[in-house]
Amino acid sequence: MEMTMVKPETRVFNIHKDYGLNEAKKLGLFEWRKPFVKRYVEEGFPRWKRLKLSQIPLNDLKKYTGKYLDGNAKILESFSEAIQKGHVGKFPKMGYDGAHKKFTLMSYAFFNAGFFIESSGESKIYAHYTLDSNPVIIENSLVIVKSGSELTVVREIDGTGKLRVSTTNFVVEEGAKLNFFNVLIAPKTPISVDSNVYVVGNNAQVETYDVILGGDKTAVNHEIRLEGVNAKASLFSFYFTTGQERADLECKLIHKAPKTTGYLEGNGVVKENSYVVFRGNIWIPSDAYGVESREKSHSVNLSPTARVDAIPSLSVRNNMVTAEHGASMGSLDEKKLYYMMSRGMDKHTAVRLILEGVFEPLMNAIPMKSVKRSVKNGLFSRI
Amino acid sequence: MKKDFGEFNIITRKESGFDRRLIEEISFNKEEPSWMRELRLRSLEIFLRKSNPNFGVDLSALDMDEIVPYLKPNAKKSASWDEVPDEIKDTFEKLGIPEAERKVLSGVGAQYDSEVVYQNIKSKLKELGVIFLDMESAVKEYPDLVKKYFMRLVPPSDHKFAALHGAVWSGGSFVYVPEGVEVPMPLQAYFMMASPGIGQFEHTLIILEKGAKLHFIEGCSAPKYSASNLHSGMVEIYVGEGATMRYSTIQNWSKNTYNLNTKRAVIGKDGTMVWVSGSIGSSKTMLYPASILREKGARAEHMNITYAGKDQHLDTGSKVIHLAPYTSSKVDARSISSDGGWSFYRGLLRVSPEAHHVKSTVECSALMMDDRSASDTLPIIEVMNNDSDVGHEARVGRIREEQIYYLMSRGLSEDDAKSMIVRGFMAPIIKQLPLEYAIEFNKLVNMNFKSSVG
Repeated sequence: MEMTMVKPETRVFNIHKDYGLNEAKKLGLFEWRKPFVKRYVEEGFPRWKRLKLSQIPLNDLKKYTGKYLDGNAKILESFSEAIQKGHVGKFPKMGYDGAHKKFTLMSYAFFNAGFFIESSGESKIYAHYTLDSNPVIIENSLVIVKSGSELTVVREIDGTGKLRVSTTNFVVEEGAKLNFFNVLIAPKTPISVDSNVYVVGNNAQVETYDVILGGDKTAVNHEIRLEGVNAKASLFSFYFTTGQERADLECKLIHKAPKTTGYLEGNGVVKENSYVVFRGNIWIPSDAYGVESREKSHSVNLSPTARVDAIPSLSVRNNMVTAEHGASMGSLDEKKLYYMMSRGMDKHTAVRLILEGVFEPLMNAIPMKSVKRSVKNGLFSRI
Repeated sequence: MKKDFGEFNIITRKESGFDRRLIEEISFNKEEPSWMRELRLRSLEIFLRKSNPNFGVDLSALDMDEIVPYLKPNAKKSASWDEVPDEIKDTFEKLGIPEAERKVLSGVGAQYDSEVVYQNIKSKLKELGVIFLDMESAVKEYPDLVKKYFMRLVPPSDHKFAALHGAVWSGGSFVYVPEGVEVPMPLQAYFMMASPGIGQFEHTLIILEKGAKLHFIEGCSAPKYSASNLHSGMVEIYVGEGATMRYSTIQNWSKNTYNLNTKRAVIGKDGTMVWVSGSIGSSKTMLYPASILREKGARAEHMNITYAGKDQHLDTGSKVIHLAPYTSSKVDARSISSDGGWSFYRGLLRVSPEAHHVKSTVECSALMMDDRSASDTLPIIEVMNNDSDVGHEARVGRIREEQIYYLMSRGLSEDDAKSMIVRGFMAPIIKQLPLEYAIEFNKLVNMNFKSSVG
């Protein structure tokens, strides 16, 4: 007997002046964009029960001004260049909806930034976007980590703008390794939507660090597809929200192949009236034996009016697996605070030290000093 | 289409389907006061307007026209066992009711089809001022009391099946325990569906005044039929200040039943609510007992075991809403999926901004017997202040080979070993169930493994 599950539909809304063919024409590469524009105009914007979107500030679309790419790789170019050179032939047929298909299609149809990377050997890439000079950034990126190579990508978005939408497709081939640092420090930016999909091959590895420090409404989606035997992925998400900020963070681990290993971890701090939702979804189909998958989330709530939701889900169809999740939520550890203050520390310093502890693993992992510094400054301005 | 339903329930069999005329007729037959008739009609309107729930099990195969909403067996309410008709007695005998009653139970309200045919209260309870009646009698004998509480906790607008229930409810129990009274023995009600295509919509209303104490046991059993059966009962429980309520259920509907139940309790200052639920039957279940911790110091405990076998999709869970400071809750949900069955844990834990110093833990564990079965866990946790302590853990796994190996090395067969491990997994919750239910659960496990241990 076929059994089906009923899932809630996402309610949508339309806006008066949405992007369309005219905007796509202005940006160039019209033929490439056209099919996506057609699909884009058919879709409505999601209301999102927890994020509560009601308007989308669609400002004038312009090409991104300034340099945003640095590093070494076999191929490193902007996404537009990659289309012109025919490097993105097969893209994008992954059937990935990201945070919501409206935004994924927006990335494909109206991108004004983004990169194409193909790695060999060991490469490091730094992509740095700033919203101050480009208030609307729509990014479309494709990364191919070639078999046997190791690639580190650090993507940093800072400043204050109007809208930031991004879709990134990662292909991690057999035996390759990807380290991805996704750093969003965009306080006062009304809407940020970030979608990332990873297709991970045999014996390949992915390690992702996600950092969210600001943005009025932020939606992040990571979908990791472990398609090859022995593929491994871990994803660490760090957030610190304050004021009226809202963030909805979703991480999906799809264990398509046997003997794959996955780990999800969400850590963060909420302050003032902010609100964070952390969703971790683990999906293990019936033919994926020998899978190990774990999920953990921990949050510290600093204010009586801040809110944290944890929505972990495990969907398991094979019994030869290990699948677990755990979550804890609480305030600042009084005992720790008491201990530190009894050693002569003032309260502010003690609180700062405890909160720094939450982000310590992230700080140790970030491979670039300048990015480390911006994350640290971002954190301090919030404590 | 005419079907042979057996002699005793042909007489007042109504045509299938729900409309205003039918609702008015039910109300008329039951000689109800006008407020109840109005509640039914209002519910019907909501039912016709509302769409199916947008989550959970697939209800597309549920044919409303197949469900005969109201059937009255050819039996009047009886106060003594001798007056109960033979066929009904026979079915009850198989379920062991008289046996159980003689031994420990203080009263039995057994429902056959839609009317209560057997009601008995020990004189002791009467002396204590405890009211234990079938719901219809309560509406007539205690109209003010019933009107004050009936469908106030779960209004018909709650969801489509709550509305359906409001329109066609029939049977069920009413319990009122006055201030300071501790009911010394568990009260028990059996519900049964014994006609093809019949819907069961019993309503249970329990009110515990300050400092009262009660253990109520509900059990379901239905023989197997080919037509779709729908069960959409409702339980509303009001736990007063310092009162303690324990509600134990075993759900064992036949494998073609849609079991869409609503159970909700509201708990006052320092009150305690304990839900013990076992789900083993039905084709599809959606059941999420809810505890609303409304006043300071209220406490809720949910113990839940679900066993989904062949062709079953059991979507069960719990809902705990903390509205007041110093409230606490504990959820322990366990499930077993075997032989292609699907068990789904769906939970909500909400700590509202005013609910300071809340302590809550949610634990889910699932056992998968094979790679044809399915197990899902989806606990939603919402914490809206910073001085609450909330923890959650879940795991899905299998029986470890080394455990089986160990037991086999001690002389057990593989089936016996598996059966023993599964029973051990369920034990902490099964222990909370009344003895005869615990035996039933264990039998089921043994059958599954062809084991005779235990």
